[in-house]
Amino acid sequence: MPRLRFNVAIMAIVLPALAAGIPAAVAAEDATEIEVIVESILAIDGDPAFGEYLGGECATCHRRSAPAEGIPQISGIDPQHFVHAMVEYREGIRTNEVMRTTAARLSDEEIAALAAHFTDRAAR
Amino acid sequence: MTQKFKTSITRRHFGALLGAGAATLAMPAYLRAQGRPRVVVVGGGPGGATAARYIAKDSNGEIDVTLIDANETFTTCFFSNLYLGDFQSFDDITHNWDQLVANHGITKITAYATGVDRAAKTVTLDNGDTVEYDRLVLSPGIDIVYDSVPGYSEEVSEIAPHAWRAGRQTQILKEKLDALEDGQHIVMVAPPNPYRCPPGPYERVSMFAHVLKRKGFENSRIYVIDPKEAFSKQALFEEGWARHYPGMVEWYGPDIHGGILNVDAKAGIVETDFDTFEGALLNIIPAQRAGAIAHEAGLTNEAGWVPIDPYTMRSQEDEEVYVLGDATVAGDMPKSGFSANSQAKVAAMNIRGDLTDANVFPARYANTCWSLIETDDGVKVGAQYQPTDEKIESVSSFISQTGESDELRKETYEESLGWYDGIIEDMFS
Amino acid sequence: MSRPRVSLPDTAEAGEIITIRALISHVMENGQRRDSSGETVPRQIIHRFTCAFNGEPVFACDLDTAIAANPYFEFTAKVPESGTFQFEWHDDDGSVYTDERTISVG
Repeated sequence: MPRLRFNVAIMAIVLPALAAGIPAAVAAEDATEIEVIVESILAIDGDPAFGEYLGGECATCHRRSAPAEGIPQISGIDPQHFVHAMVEYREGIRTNEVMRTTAARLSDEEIAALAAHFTDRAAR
Repeated sequence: MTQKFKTSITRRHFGALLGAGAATLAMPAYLRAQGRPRVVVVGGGPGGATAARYIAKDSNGEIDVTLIDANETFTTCFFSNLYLGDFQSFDDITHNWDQLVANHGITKITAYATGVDRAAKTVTLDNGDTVEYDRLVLSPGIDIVYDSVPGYSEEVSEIAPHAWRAGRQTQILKEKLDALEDGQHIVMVAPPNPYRCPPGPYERVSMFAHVLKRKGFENSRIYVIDPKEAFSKQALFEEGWARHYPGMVEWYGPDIHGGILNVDAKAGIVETDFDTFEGALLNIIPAQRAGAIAHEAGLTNEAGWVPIDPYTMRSQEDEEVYVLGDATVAGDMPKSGFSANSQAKVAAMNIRGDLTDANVFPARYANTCWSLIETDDGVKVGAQYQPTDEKIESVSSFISQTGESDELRKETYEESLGWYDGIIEDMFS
Repeated sequence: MSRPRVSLPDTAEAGEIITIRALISHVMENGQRRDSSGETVPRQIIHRFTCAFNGEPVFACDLDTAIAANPYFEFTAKVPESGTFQFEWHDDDGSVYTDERTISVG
């Protein structure tokens, strides 16, 4: 038979994607520790002007005028509720990845400023 | 504790530095006569509309804002794939600037901006008028580089639409999709990097497949001829295509197809080095570059995009011209409507700082891109960004995972609907 | 419905080494995935690919479940004379998909 030389490249092999799933919620962070952080943020006199600038990012998704499907309205939100939620996102207790990533870079002062802005907006 | 970024707040008090009213001395004579500094925004999409709105809204009438766009209405490129898949109507994704005029005193000029004289600080319009500015915002989106695909042209795009700028092109594509019969195929030529909306071509493939599957077309195929070795959210799309549309989508990377030799739209074929692909519908998405006015203004680099200052979104060529969105080299940020909207807020703040005594805070940016694979099967990718001396840099990011629950995918889709309503209000209200 | 695509030159010099590219569109269902109702989707893959020249084996390969959809082979062969390359893809369901290409030498 004719001598035939070959080498092979299989281009389209991929391992089955590993089912990574969502990272499990951080195991039972001490609820009192969260409360301590929340209380310390609520004690900060947040700068509404700074909060208004930071809140520009929120406005891309959270409608000011009305709740939208799948995304809650935060304009006029109760500061206690707002700060609690942001701390839980920041500490990885709440799971939504958009909010986790957003909250992860917020300092206590920035969360306080945002709370002041959204509360202020309700008052107007 | 999660790592946090502590930012110091920088404020510019023009009044304190220069004395009240001193800032006006720096303005040209015609403006002192007119009284208000003037910002001209070219392009009314996510970058331009958001910038115009934030400058006008937050300056409380201190700044005169003019928005120039060639059209009376704006159809969003984001969610135009969902129109193809019958999840949105064309009206749902079509908006106008009327509320910006009514609510914020913005002047809307309907004309095509043809050029910029940066020395005279004027914009030239196709109706012969010129418009003067103190600060210019260019948010021109993309131009299609038709001849990057052999055999393709603007004329051919009437038969083989790119539909990568939303509007009539999107409707042509939808008409051709709806006219397909079982056994007829679709050939998509995907674009090379960088391009608008990285996951967009593959969400579009998903929407094509959704329509064909719903009609029970078992003999139609979607061939994707891609110049890229890999693409955005690839594992998620490939998992979704195998799950929802088994055997319907065939993706060919450059290792396999070996290069696109010719597109013959009339014959309905795409010739590659490997084989010839036939389709009753050809969707050809060529390479892209910044919208024409960015080139006219002399702000683009050799690759056809506009380098910007990562801290402010100012053009690197001219500190009185800000450039937003797809037209820019925005470092790690993708070309997306979300990115443009985020960049617009940084630019708006800096422009108010330039022209009034408004506070200027450190820039920060964000982006999320949602994609729909099949009904209630949404995925997302996103990141937070910060400016450095080199570029806008990703500081943290996330992406949907393969194997997620149906509930989570449905939540992700519903979140994208909420985001759409949110960004539309943020742009146009 | 699987469709083979094969690419090789129409002509070659005697003894020339040519590149052969062969792809078949196939879901390559690995037998571990579950459908939307939670049922396991049965395995159905192309488990063997062969290439012959004028009836003599050139190349054969057994495939397993970790191969992605639309398996693609690229290999080279030295062509001594005019003839025909024959290709076969063997499906789990018993189907055999075939294709062939002639090449002239001289």
